Amino acid sequence: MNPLHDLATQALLGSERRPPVLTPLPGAVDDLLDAASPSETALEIRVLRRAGVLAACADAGYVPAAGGAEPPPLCEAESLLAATDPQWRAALVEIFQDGPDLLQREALRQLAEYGAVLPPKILPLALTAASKTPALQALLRPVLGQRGRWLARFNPDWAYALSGDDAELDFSLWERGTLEARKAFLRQLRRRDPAAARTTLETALTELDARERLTLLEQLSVNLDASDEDFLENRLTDRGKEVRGLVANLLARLPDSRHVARMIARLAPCLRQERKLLRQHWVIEPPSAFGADWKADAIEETRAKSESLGERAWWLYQIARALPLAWWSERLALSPAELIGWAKKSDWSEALLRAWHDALTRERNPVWAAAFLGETKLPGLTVDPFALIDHLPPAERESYWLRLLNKSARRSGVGEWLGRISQSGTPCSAEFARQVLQHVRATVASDAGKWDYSLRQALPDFICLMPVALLDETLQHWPVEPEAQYFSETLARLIAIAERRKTLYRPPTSRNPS
Amino acid sequence: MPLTPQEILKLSPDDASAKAAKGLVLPAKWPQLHHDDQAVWGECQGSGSKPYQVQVDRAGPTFRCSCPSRKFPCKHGLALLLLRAQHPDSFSVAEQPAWVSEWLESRRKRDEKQAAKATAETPAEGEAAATKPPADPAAAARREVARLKQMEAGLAELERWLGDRLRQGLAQLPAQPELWEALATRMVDAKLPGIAYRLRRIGGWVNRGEHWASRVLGGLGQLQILIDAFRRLDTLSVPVQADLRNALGVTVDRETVLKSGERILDDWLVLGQCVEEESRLWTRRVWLRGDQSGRMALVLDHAHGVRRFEQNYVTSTRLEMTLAFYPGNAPLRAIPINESRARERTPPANAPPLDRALDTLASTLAMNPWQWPQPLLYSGAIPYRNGKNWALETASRQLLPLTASDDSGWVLLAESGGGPLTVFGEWDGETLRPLSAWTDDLIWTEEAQPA
Repeated sequence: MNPLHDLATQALLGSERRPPVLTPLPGAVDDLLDAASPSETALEIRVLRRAGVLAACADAGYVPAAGGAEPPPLCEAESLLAATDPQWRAALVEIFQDGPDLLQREALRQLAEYGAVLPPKILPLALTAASKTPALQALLRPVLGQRGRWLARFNPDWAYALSGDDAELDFSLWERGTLEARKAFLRQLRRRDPAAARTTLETALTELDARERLTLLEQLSVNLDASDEDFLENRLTDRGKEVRGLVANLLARLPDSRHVARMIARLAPCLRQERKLLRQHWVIEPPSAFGADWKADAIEETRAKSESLGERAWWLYQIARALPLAWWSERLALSPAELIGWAKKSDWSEALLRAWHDALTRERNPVWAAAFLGETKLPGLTVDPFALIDHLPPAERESYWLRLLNKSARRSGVGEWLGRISQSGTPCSAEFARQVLQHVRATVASDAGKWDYSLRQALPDFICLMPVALLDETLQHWPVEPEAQYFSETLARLIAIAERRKTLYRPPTSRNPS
Repeated sequence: MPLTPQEILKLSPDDASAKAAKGLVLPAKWPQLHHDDQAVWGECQGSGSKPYQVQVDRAGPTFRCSCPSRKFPCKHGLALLLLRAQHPDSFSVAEQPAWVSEWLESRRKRDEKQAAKATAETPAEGEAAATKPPADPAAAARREVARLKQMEAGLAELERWLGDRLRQGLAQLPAQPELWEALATRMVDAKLPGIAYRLRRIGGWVNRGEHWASRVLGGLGQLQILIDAFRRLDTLSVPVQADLRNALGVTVDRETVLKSGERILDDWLVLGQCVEEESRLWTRRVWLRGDQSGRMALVLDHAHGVRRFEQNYVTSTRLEMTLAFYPGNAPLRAIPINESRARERTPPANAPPLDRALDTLASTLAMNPWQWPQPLLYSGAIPYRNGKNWALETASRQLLPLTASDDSGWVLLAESGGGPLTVFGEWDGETLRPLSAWTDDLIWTEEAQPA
């Protein structure tokens, strides 16, 4: 036993109650202690001297513990280039400490583009960032390199880095995981083997509550096709109202499904042609009674209290929204814009417009999106123009955004406007970026800019979406007017982000010998 | 050798200054940006009408700014260096204006004066005698006697207190947390700040870990030995007396060290540094190792109220300078006599393996057991995650526990790739607080502790 431990154990109770017994120590220490403590020395002082000497000896004679476990295995040598040159490394540190998200994505993409991997120093930051933002994971995997995969083994939070798309799926996550884990599992399985995922879900259905059914059924939207139809048909009568709605919506995504055919059969009788001023006109009239077999297709007979539609319009809306948009164009031989015009004049405009908007959200049809955007007023319907613009091909979005900006004409909403654009993550053209920044500069110099905090938040993201070649031109010569002092910190951040982006477009080299 | 942005930000006194400095990296705010071999300077538009004059002496680096901030270096100085690193095109070479050249000149003169004062011992003494009011040797001696008496009384009280602890038993200690502070305060009054410091440290060990009673008893025992040694002060050798005085908290004044301390001219490598704060007293430890002498040195600085350290050090740089050492049996603490201009980046050469480093530590502690923490530099350290804690392992599986944050641990592990690192840190007898690590180059230094 360690003599100091022994002494301490004896000293716990106190010398008044139990005087410690000083057993002789081996070697020179004992001689020293004897010499230092003549026989008349108080016991307490003897104990203290002994402890002091032993502690000093223990300090000087420290022996490291023998390691219990195997040391970590040596990481294999990297065959790819590690971006360890000082500029890249400094930029990557800033990017992963400071964001923004878009820049992290760009950095990972650019590294992959150059066939390079992250330098070791950045790996913990990047692995942690991606464990919190799963969208980064697929981008991170290719640039982890040997070192990154080696490192990820030591931290359970980073396990995602090792389970690539081809890795074995961990079935225990499905059996014992949280809802979130089960969802992720099902989604991955669905990507690889849609039928197996469906069967897995089907077997488990009876033990799931409504919320779980809703969350997990939603994952079938990945790789949805006709082979899912029978399963979904059976779920149309689910006990949960929300679940039934979800299932109906999934079936509506299969234009040839029996569900869609039944809905078409219900809607067709509502349409008829009338002759008016020598021309044929289409007229729509909602069903007058709730059909006996409708419930089986997840059509709800009664409305919610907050529903603005009347009873018959409510039925019409539910039927109409299940139909593919193409069906309407074909049946009525009208373009989307003409259809919207026709609906607006009808008595049932709200039901029709809402139904089509639902279908548009499902189908992401750019022609219909443009048609909706072309309308200034849509009765009974509030549309989010930014969501509609996102359905358009990227090249067409900018002109619509500018139109929104000019329409508002106020400077106050610029931050919110820019925030929505940045959110879409669409890289923008040089011309668009120039116009936006011109507008921002004018706003910053005005009072409106001062109070527009969202502008200062949106700009860093926007800088990430601008063409790299434009960065110098637009930012370097931005004057800092005395009245725009409040903006200088933001501007410094924008310039810093621009510099980091420029670094990302220079091929990285391995560490410079310093 | 230019500093990287991260190295520049490490010179910042706090996070707020670092953040504010980043917000000033904006060439448009700087109507003037110039540099030459010696210095970098510029004018920064602040909130007032007159721009601030900001200048940095590249040696060190050392900062000066005309702004009223009490922070040092201030955000302007940091921003100036960041601009130099990130936007070198915004700078032009120029002749030093008067406000730059005069500052540099005054610093150079002060340096020369200090060096001259330190080298020319006798004339310096004469000079001091001429400028200062003549000291009354009799009064000084009376003061010394009075002080020793106070200390003696304080130590007698300490001895009684120690005896009481032993009589009542260590098992009472967890229930008596107030004991330590009460005695520590009285020890400060008795001119024994070193004892007070030790008492607070030992008090912190109570009830911590499996063997706390041994640690505490060992600590108390060493206090007894300090008491014993003080009573026989006259029988001890002069260097041991110095160590003992230092342990009790009697400081040697700077002038004496500059005048009569052992002096070593060498290439000193900055092994590592750390700054600690306790009730607005900042303590900075900079650890150096001499290339030729192989000596370790500790440059210890304090700052009250504001974290302000005149001289900046960049880890893993080699500085040619002379250090004057405080007296002692194993001299460690030192004062730089002159500022050095050489700024070469290099890893420590010939770092010993752990066994040899511990042998050296053993002989150092044999000469002076009172100095803590001790510097520890060794090679062949493989970072290792031991459950929730971090450790360093050698190839022969010797384990050294680390006091390191998780962030630090992961970076060390990532950089090592399972291979050996050279590590420098502060050893407290039980764990190593790592301050810097190298592979071929410096790969890591401890991040500043969040305040």
